[in-house]
Amino acid sequence: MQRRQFLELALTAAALAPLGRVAAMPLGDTWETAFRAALEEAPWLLGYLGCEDRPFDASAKVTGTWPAALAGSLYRNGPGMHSLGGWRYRHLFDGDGLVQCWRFGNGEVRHRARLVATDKLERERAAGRRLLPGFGSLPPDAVGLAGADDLNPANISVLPQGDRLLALWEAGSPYALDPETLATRGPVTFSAETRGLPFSAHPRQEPDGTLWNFGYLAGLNKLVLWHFTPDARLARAVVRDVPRIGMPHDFVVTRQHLLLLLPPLYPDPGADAATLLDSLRWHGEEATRVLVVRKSDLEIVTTLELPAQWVFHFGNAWEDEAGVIRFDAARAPDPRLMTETFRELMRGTEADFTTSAARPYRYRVDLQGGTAEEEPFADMLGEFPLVLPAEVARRHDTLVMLGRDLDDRPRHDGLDRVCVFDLACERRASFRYPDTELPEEHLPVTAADGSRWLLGPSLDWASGQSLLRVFRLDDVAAGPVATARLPYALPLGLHGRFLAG
Amino acid sequence: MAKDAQWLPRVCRTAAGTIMVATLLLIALLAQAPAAAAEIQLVVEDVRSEQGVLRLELLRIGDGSEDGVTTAQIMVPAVVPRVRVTLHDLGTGRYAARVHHDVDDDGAMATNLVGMPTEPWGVSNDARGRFGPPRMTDMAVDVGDEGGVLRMTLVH
Ligand SMILES: [Fe+2]
Repeated sequence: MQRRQFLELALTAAALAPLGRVAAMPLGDTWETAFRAALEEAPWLLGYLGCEDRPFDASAKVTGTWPAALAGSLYRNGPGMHSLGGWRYRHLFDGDGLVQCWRFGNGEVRHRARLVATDKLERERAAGRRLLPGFGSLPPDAVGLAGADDLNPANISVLPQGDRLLALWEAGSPYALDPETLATRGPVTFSAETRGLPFSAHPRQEPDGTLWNFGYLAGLNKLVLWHFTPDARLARAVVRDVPRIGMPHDFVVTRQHLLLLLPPLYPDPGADAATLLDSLRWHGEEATRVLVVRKSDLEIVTTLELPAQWVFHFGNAWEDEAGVIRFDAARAPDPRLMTETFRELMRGTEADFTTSAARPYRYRVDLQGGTAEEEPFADMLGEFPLVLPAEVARRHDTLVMLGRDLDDRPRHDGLDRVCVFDLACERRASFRYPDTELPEEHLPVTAADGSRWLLGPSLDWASGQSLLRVFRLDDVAAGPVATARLPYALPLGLHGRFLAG
Repeated sequence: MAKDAQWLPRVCRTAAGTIMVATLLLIALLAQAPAAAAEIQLVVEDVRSEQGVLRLELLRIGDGSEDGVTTAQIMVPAVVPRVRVTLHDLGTGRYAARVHHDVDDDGAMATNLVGMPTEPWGVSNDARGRFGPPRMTDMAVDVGDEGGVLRMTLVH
């Protein structure tokens, strides 16, 4: 009798899961065909072709002078394999996680990449076709779900944690990998009572090693908050009720608080939708809520409002002398990049992404006065904001973003430059990539000797090679000091972390 | 509630290929003995540990109840990798089954902070939900005079 209740609760969690009707089996997948035809016309789409089901290992060819002090591993993750059994995913976010490691030191740069062997991918490999639904894809004859982890592709980011590397999704468990071989060990359970709870792909790590994260349960309207000690032990995990929580992707941390933005994008429970994506409704007339959580007891202390907006990624947050929370983010007017562009991209349809693209904004949240304010701080498109690890949760002077100036006209549809903001002096330095290259998330890092560098992966779509460029963080405009070039092209990735040593 | 000896299920240790006549830990039969008699096998696959017990529930569907009416609740030892329980002299009709591997044997399904099960469970036909729990109609198996088998694979 109780068991029935439990099963029902369990499967409510699967409400996250895009399910629904069974699509008719096409004769030859039209999306696969359409994408390949579009690729002929627009070769920069190579970044979205997806990889084959195979391992990648290579020694990179280095030109320029790799900084002697810069040794360590750059781990990255992102949707890697989009097609299996001749059927192509309908959304960019559904591809199986491809975890990469760029390892450099002693004048050598080596690269390795492996698809995360999730339970989902293992089942689908055995079947020779897609079985499970994704965020925005419903394969023909899809099977049902026992829980959100059934469709976990572990494809957004990574987190080095002790003797393991975690591959992160946002609606389920992290997957543990061997940090050396990148072989998949399996899903991670931090404690019995947190088993299966969502662990977002954007945990925030303070300079002392303390780690915070959140997770959303869109179907249950719950927020999970995670707190780990510097030695990676789970200190606390709590669940808070948050009506219409939607799907927050990232958050920020200050010395005293955690802060989330909740854009008004929710699943419509009445929607007869094939996928979770299809069930989402944008309520542009509503506010984007600002949720402030007190670190000490993980209680929600304030909810404020901003105009409707969509934010994937934040830079960093801190509290000023007056206790006002300051943060920056890549702010979009609506989520159409996700709900439309990243879907159309999968069949190679031209979609003007610029109207819904994010721009650099900064915010002030005054808890005493109960106000939240925002303003743009650079007239450009911008995404993938990052700060140096040593500046997380305190005032940061340097902010890195990929960008595109409004009069830039690259021969591809993406961002075309990397920008380094000196926030104290309100100055921007940038490097514009050649049109034949698509830059990916660039990471500011500090080497063992204190020197500051910028690690810049990119895809040279013209030559079909993936690259890693290194810039001086303090002189990005001078261009890369070294470039490592692979003998193969990898799908454009999402997020990474650098581990020095 | 008095029980006839013929109602005692037998447990087969399939892995060992031997039949263990039920010195069962618990049997509770809640339904009246019907006129027609059929044999029903409940098969639980992918049992990964012999800790604790399996708690099975057989439900009869129809008779005006969409949700099914509990016909038997059975507790048997957990045996790796498969457990088979045979129930005799049940009426023909539509049935569904659920199982919970009560690993810590505390009589309740262990759950995480939001109530999702953290002990293995399964339902007949391995039915899975779409936007919710599996439907009873997907779990249903028709049992005629020749008997029937209800299979479920544990979800871990
Ligand atoms: Fe992200």
